[in-house]
Amino acid sequence: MAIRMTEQVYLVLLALADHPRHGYGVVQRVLELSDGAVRLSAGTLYGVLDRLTTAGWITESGEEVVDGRLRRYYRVTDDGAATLAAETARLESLTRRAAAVLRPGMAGA
Amino acid sequence: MSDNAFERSARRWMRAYPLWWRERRGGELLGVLEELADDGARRLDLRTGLSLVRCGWATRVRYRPPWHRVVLYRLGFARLPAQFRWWVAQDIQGRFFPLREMTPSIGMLGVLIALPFMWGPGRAQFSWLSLLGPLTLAALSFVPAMDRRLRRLARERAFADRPSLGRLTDRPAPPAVPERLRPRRRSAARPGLARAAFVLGLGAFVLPVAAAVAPQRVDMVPCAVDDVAWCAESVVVAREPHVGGALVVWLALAVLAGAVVGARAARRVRRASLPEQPFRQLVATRVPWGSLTATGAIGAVALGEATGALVQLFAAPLAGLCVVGLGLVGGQLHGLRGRGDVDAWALIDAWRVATSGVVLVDPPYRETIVLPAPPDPSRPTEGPVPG
Repeated sequence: MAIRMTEQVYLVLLALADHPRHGYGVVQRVLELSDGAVRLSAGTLYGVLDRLTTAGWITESGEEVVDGRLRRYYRVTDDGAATLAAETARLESLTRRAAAVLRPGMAGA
Repeated sequence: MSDNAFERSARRWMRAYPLWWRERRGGELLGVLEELADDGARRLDLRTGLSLVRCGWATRVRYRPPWHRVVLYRLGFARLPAQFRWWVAQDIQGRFFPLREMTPSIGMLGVLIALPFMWGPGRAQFSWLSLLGPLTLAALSFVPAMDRRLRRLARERAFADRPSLGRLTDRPAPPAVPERLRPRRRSAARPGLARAAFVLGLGAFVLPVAAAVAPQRVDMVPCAVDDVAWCAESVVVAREPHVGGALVVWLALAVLAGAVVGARAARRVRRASLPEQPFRQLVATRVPWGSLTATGAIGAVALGEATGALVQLFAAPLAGLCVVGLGLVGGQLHGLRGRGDVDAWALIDAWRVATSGVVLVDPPYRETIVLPAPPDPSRPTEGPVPG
């Protein structure tokens, strides 16, 4: 099942790329990666996690109870990592082209 | 933060999510909500709550099966794919499930009843009494025993391999009570089928004879009202010679149908793979009350209609049903004859394999053990006072 690569989906995948995180950890990491621009609500986060799990891009990797709260950890699968790498390459390419348009002198840099 | 007040508030908003989703992820979502909330918050803020409602309903829409699959599932023609099992579990557990389950039957009965009012050379006069059948069926779905039975059957059908999926709850687990597992008692297949064959065979023999010699029968004639063209009423008339021919055609059709279902049943029973049934106990019926009652009813109908004490009404249709049933039971017995594990078959297995091709594994009954109440220290004990 293919899902649309929105900014939120991309950021959640990116947040899980280096190591497994639980829900609150993902929210914090996304906030950090987006430089404070994207603060995921719990509802949005779990909508994205549901879709990514269904698509097979992330998977559950364990759970623990901390201070009486259940924490379930998620990690990126191989498919998810490949998708993330492809999307990152696309964004890099787009950024280069955008820079060339905005500053023609940097096109060959 | 006052955990209980906040949790109650959060759980209220979380009801926008499907029950099965809350069972799987509710605790985790609640944990994230608590961590994201301000210290000391006693309730979820409105913005987060509305976001939960929006996302909860989006989740409901995302996991709902397509409508055409729901229609087929509701009509009993198809099971939903595995990805929708949670939806099925919630459907079975939800409010008014028996009404939803009986909707096709109610609808079909309604259509049959509505036809004379909508179709034909003229229209019959509408009578509120005509709504009695569908309304009775609908009312039956609210009878607690029917409710329990329909839900249990649906759960068995949908979750034969994973019974734990059939029950959902997002409430905290109840305190553990001591319980023991009791096997389910089922009637053995071979004696039950033999009794059924006898009863159906008797019906297939005596009922056609009774129908053939019955001195009077029920007929439908147009109403004696001029302005209503499509109206019929039942009258009792003397037996006519052409009735015998109609009876023969009816029985021939029944024999054909019985042969088809019998052959299919025999093939399915012969090929079925019987699973282990660790929570089942096969028992022999001590007094076959069902068979005795059916035999008595068939005898009474045959005797009554053959002698004219009853108008011929039931004998002919019942004879056809007996012939088809005899074909089915005969097929089951024939299929069992070639198997080495015939003693492991329960009557219910033979029925399910013949009708659906599936054998269900019986889950155990969970029986709560009632412990003796602890002594009440406020009440004086009888006997000598301990020194």
